[in-house]
Amino acid sequence: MSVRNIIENVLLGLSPAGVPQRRLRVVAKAASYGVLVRDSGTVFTTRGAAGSVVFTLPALADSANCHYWFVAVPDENMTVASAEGNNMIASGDVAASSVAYATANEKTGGVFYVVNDGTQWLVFPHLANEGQAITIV
Amino acid sequence: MGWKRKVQDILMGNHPLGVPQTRRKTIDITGNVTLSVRDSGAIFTTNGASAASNLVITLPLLADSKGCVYTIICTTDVNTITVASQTTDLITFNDLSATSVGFNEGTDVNNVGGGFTFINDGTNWLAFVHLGDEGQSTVVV
Repeated sequence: MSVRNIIENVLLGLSPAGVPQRRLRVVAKAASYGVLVRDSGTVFTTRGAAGSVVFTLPALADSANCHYWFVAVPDENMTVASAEGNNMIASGDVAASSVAYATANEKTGGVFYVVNDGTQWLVFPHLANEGQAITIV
Repeated sequence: MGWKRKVQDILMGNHPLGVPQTRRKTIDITGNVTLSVRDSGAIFTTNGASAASNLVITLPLLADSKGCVYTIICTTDVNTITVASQTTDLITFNDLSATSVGFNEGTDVNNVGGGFTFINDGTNWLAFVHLGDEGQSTVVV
């Protein structure tokens, strides 16, 4: 494989050998955190939290196409909130301000994937169980 | 963006601007298999597996695979599909030390459409469950 091919692969987001083999950046936050634009692509967990954790998304206007994962690890509230409010699309709500796993014994394993489409934050919930509750505000 | 972050993105296999703009590698699973670190990022399907299959997919050793990610989706109605860690280090619904998660045709009429994504955060396998619909349930051990 030529150096040119290797560079092309890297620029295409592939490994130097041309395989889409990637590891994700995973970051634990035991306390509330203001998510940054440069964190895009990161998987955040609440590992180590002893209380509620609120992830506040970056300003919508600054973060088009940014995307983040949030994973509830201990049985503590995990909230993902927009900075401005009323600009998240969640289940049955086109103007939500936050989404959360906040029901006792139904938090661990809950996941949100959040993408800024340039207009709003699109929320993709990944329920760990068919009975897991999401709190939408 | 600083040069350190650009290098980090490249080493992570992401676009230098930090956007993981890749095409996903897909791999069919028709029998029991242990996933390899080099398959990180791939999507595994059950294409070709028989309806009588009881598939067991084993995740790589936790210590070797920090940051690795795998997605598995039932594309055929196998009898059971189980994704297991090599120890009790899997986090899923209300369980911080599960050994495996899966779908069982005995519980759900059809397993097609159900799936999981697993990410190793360096301490545990984080299981992201993708339910095919609100009636689909997982089997956790």
